Amino acid sequence: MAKVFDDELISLKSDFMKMAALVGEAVSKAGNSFINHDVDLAKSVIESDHQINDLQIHLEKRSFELIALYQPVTTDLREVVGILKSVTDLERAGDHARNVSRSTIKIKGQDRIAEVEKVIATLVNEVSKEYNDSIDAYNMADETKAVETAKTFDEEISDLYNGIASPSYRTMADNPAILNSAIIYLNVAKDLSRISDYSTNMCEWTVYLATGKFIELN
Amino acid sequence: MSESIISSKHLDLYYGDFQALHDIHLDFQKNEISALIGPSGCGKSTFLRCLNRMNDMIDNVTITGSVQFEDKNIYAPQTNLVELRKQIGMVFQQPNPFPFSVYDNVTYGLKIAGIKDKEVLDEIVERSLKQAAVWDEVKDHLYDNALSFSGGQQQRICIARVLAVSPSIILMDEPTSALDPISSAKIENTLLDLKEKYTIIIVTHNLQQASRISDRTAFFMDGTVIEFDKTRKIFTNPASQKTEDYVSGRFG
Repeated sequence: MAKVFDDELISLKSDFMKMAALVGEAVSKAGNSFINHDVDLAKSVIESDHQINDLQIHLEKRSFELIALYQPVTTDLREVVGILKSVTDLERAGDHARNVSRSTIKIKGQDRIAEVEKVIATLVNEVSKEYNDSIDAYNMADETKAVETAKTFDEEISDLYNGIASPSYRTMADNPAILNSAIIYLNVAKDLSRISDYSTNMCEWTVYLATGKFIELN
Repeated sequence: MSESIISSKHLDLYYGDFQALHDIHLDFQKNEISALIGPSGCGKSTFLRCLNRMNDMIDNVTITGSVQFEDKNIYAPQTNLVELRKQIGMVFQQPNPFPFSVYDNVTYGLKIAGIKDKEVLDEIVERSLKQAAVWDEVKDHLYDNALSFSGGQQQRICIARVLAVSPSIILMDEPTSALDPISSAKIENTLLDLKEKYTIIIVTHNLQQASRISDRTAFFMDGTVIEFDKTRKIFTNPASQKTEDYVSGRFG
């Protein structure tokens, strides 16, 4: 392919990594805002969500242009299609980070359950780690790391989710006074689990990028 | 279910001392379009011409190995070349109609074969021109000189001329490289219709054309076949890095 295409692809990928970094930052900030009850940090995540959405639209438009103008095939095509499909996953992960931030604001002033918040802190940590590892694997087109990442975190994150859900449900039954907080905990756990699912999708796109195979991880 | 129709085995070809083809093994399937791609000078047209012994006409050419067509080696001494080329027809890069009427172009091979019955000839002319998707454009001008038509129409008249003698295989050497995109699209659609009845082997420099119309693609380089596989595989996930580099336009 012409050098122009190679340059275009490098620039597309660089914008994609920018988006991936913004989403990673949103996930980590949103999680920390919830753990540390930091409403200002939560607000900053909500306010910057439009940057992620704008980048998604920009990347989709550029990908369509590259396909129309250069008709890439084989690895080149997989690079472009991989980005075109992954930006949707990243954008949704960003939306869930925004939801977590909204929960930070909602729970302010409500009664807390320390036992649950401790598990949420671990979940935030693991989800962020999984996200960063899946983006690294994608960046290096490293299928082995992608498969490993999806496998390593899957069970752990599911256990942590249950570690939040069970005491939350219990509290809802035993102590209706903190029903609101329990619902928020469940929502946050759900949002974080969804982010983990999108990281798994990224790992699947990495395998596609590296091998051309479509696989289901987890 | 695919069925082999023509295959080369251990095919080597020399122009004097220069070896242009090295040990080519290719097996083409019936009612498929197979594309031969590769950089200029890689041997793809030379190979195509081996399939109906067109290289015999070039001095100084030596060919070893075999080409099996319908269980016979076409390089066997007893092969009847006229009969062979009737069964394995060829369309060239430049449209090359004879300087006579459309009708006489299409009936040329038939008349040589001794068919004189006007009704039979009329019927074959109509059928062949229809199959070549040019009938509607020339039906009211059958006795006009074929050279008075556009390049795209001339090329389809040449395809009709090949079809008139009812070949099994049609060899095509860059049949659309001299045509505009609209005429090329018409030829491509014609080929897709024709593969129901014929087997088509096409040399093309247009990679998108190969990916659009062919079922299988052979990638040639330096007189050898690097890879021969389903076109879908060649253009999405080829086995060889050389193929990948070529189809993604990184050399050639």
